[in-house]
Amino acid sequence: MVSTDPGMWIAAFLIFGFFTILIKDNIWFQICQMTIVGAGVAHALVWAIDRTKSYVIEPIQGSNPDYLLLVFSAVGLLSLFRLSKQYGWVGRYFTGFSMGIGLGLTAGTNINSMIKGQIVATLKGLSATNTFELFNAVVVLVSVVFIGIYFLFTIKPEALGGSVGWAQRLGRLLLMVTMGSSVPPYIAGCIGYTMAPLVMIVYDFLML
Amino acid sequence: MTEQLKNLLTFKRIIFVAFGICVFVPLVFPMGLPISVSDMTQEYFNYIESLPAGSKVLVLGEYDLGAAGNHMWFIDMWKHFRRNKLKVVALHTSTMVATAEKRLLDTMGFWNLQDYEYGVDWVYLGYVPGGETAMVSFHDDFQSIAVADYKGTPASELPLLQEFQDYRDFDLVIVSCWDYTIFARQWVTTPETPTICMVDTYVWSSAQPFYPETFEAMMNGMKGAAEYEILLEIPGRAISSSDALTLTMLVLFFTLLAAQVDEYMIRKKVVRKEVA
Repeated sequence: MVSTDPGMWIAAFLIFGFFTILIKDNIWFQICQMTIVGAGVAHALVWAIDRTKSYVIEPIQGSNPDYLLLVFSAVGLLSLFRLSKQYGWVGRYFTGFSMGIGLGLTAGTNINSMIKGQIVATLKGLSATNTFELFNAVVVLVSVVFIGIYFLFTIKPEALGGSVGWAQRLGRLLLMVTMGSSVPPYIAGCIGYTMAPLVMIVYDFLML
Repeated sequence: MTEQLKNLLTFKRIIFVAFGICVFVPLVFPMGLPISVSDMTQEYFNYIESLPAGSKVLVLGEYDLGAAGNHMWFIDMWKHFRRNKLKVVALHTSTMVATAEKRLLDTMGFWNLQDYEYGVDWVYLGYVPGGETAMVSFHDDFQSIAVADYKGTPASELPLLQEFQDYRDFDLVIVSCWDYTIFARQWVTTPETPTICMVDTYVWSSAQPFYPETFEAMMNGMKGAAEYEILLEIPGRAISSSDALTLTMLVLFFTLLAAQVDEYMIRKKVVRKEVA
């Protein structure tokens, strides 16, 4: 039994069309590609209008209006100046403002979570009572130290004798092991992404 | 065999066909390959299972439309919420996934449930714009972001949304994400409000260092979703898809092995030639 939902038929048409690229580039694939880009932009635009209404227009029209929202909306609108050749530079104020906010939000928290947090997590394992966990923590710590040495590009191995060169080689080996171990989940993730439309075809379109 | 057919049957295309067969066949004819529940999924499940009825949960979504595991997890999670009578507020940072999730809730018939009432027991906010900036605001000033739900209903008309001021009013925060770094950076929670994370398989390895310091429990994409369905005792799409995932991984393993042997043989041939 095949689905009677017209939306599902369109979805199936697009999914099969996208998979035809595995044979070669063709008109079906190109139609699907353009359709999905157009539909994606249209969908995002509808959402943007809807959210502008919820987050800007309605709060200003309410009993306790927040006029500061108008200022920030005006900053956002500055980005449209990019469309003009003569006044395109005005759009840079918007870019600067956005980047400033982004940096402000991430700079401090990055130090806390990505550096301090990771150092604490690396060392905390050493307090484990379970032998296997303790061994694991030691391996992690040793790997961190040697990979760190590998990235000390400012020190030439010859300058400090053979020991640094040996440590850097071990660091490189550990780095490759780490990268290698992250490949299977990455590929499994890719397969998962490929499976999503096929699962949809089998269960929602073919209704098997 | 014609020349045209020969050109079509390249090694790459044969692999694609093999992958296609490995996905389609187990989906249509499930093989029932065994699935063992990992400690991490068990821990993740226990976090939700241990919450008493009426506990408040915040679900933050930040993943791609193609993340099959996260979509399967979404279905299972809502079944779990309903079964345990948890009060849930959910949102997403992607417009497309917000629509897809709404469709999943439609399919499950959640909007008109009598025993799990919308607005009182659960609220779906849909797409929340602003990315990381919005997440920071959501963390500290819930009311400024939760102004309306997916359908545009104002927050004042949804009783559940009146109960929250910031993240501390929630008993548990569940993150389902691709870019876990946003939450690792911005969602510094308290022991009273733990954060658990469903991470896409794509980034599973790189997210590991954040367990258990930042995320107190973690689950791994589609594999985790299948294990979750076993624990929940509600077989769903993740279990059905796990056979396909296992088979495709096997194909991948043998393809990689064949490529390594091929590379070794080529190098051996080159060395022999050089010696000669």
